[in-house]
Amino acid sequence: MKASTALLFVIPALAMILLFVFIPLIGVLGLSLTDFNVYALANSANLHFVGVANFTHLLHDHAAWQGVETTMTVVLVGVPATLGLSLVCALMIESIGARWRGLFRTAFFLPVVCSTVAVAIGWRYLLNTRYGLVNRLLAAAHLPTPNWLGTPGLALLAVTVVVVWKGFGYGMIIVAAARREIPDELYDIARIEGAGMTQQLLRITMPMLAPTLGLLALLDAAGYWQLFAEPYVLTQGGPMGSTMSLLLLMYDRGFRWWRWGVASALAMVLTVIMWLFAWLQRHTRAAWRGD
Amino acid sequence: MARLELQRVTKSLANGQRVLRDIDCAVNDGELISMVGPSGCGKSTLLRCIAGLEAITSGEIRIGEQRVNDLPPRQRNVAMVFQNHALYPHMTVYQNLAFGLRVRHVARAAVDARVRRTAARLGLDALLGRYPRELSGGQRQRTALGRAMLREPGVFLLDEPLSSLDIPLRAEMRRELSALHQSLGTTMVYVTHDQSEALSLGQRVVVLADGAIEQIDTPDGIYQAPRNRFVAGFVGWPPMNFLSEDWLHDTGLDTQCIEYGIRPERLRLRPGARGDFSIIGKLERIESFGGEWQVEISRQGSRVIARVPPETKLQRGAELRLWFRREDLYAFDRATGSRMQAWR
Ligand SMILES: Nc1ncnc2c1ncn2[C@@H]1O[C@H](COP(=O)(O)OP(=O)(O)O)[C@@H](O)[C@H]1O
Ligand SMILES: [Mg+2]
Repeated sequence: MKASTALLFVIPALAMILLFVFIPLIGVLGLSLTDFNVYALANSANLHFVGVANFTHLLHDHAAWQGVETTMTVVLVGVPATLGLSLVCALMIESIGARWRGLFRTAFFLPVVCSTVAVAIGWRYLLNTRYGLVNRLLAAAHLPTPNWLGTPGLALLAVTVVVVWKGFGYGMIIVAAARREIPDELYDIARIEGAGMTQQLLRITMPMLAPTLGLLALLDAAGYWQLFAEPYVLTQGGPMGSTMSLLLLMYDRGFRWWRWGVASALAMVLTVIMWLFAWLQRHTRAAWRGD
Repeated sequence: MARLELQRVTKSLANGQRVLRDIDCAVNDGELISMVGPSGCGKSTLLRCIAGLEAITSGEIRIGEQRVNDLPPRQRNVAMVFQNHALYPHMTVYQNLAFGLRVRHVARAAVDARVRRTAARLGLDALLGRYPRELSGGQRQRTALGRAMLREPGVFLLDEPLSSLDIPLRAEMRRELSALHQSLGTTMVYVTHDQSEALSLGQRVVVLADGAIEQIDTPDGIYQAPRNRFVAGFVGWPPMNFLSEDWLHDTGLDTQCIEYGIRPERLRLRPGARGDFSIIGKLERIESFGGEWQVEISRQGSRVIARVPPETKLQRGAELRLWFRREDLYAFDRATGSRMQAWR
């Protein structure tokens, strides 16, 4: 195919990327260097170039650091939990009979394809202090019935649980596919040599799934850095900012306080972090492929 | 080292398909026996049953005089080599070789000594640090063999170990395997779908078809005295010619109840003694193999192949007469397919 013909095919995609990624990105970069706010919207004379002031402001903003902590917590707790759940469920559905496999696979994958907002609303009902199913069950078992979404630590836990529950099905499908790729003969040899279930898991299954799990860890981490909808619906970032993720904070600064300069600066920081993830993913993948 | 005995071994699948039917066979201690049959006839299943990877439905398997029906694979004293090598891709050659010993918690120093000794024996010493993807097909197969050898089994089970290799390498590995068997002296069951491989490697050959044993004999026995039409047609290349009635009109042979077969190398371009039979057909094809030609003649849609010395006079499209001795014919009962021993 001639280069010019090939170009013709990619032009639509390139145009979309230009229109919806690069132009906004440059716009945001520009905005992040100004004090653009609701007054500037009314009268452009109120728009000033402020250099890196928005960035230095963020450095000294307690809420920003709390946002980092919240987001990091969800990443550091959520990623291993998601991976673990993905792995266990994948191995489970691959070891049971075909009849049940479809049912479990669908059940575990359903949250992935559901609207985040919808399931978060569902969880808000489940976690309601007085009428929620969770607390009713706890009460029935004579256990304490905490105010899940109104207590700082518990709210973050609840958000993390919802995030993991919503996300692990995707990893499960990927891990299950990777598990199916492992030839049966490898396990036949292991059985002949005398390796039990545990040894088979540790010496064959886990090492052979490691590249997949590593990739999933990166994908999950990148996804959880962009945590937004779950805390937005469940807690609006509260109580006391304890579930205010960085993305939610950006939204809060931009659309509640009309401080688009600061919000843009935050957006730029997040963008750079996401690039870092993308770079990491490319390089680890290349390393695993063995070249 | 051990003797392997199969007594009326039967295996049925959940869907009722009988994959193995009344397999009766004894492999002597130290013998190399090859099992051959068309794809899907149950060869792999039989090996897997012997190894204990699959359960049999009825019958008895004995290894070294012990009944092993209910023993798990690791207690059956067998080692297995698969067609696709089944090497662990995340382990080096060294780790692959050491796998079984490590699994059984053999001391590290002992593992090292044994792995290195086996690697040296197979010419793998320089490759111990490599991963399977960095090996050639032959090196992979040698590694898989080495792993099986380190098990020091009573019986080796080899499931088409050479069929993923290219042809020159296959011949070389076949010789190596044969030499290895002689020096190890271990009982080996060698499964293949390639009849020439089975004949050249096995001290005895088991011919399987559709889950049942058709014949067990020495390679010469199988070739010279096939028990039935299936074995006769399966063993030998090009396969035996089965002569339809049209070929034999003027011979006066009974073609009503008997089907006749003749091996391609028994057909000749010239008459020998008086009383020889001949068949005549149109020369369709000449294929040269250097020292030998294969010629194909046809008559009313049925074809006969002969292996003959090169003969420049032959002309494609012309009539060609091929001669053979009456006693070189094989006769098969049309009703049962079994060979009529009395014929020769
Ligand atoms: N897991 C299985 N499920 C269904 N059918 C099987 C299975 N394994 C083997 N078979 C059937 O058993 C027969 C023998 O297979 P196999 O032992 O692999 O033959 P071979 O090794 O001689 O090619 C085939 O007809 C195959 O369809
Ligand atoms: Mg097979």
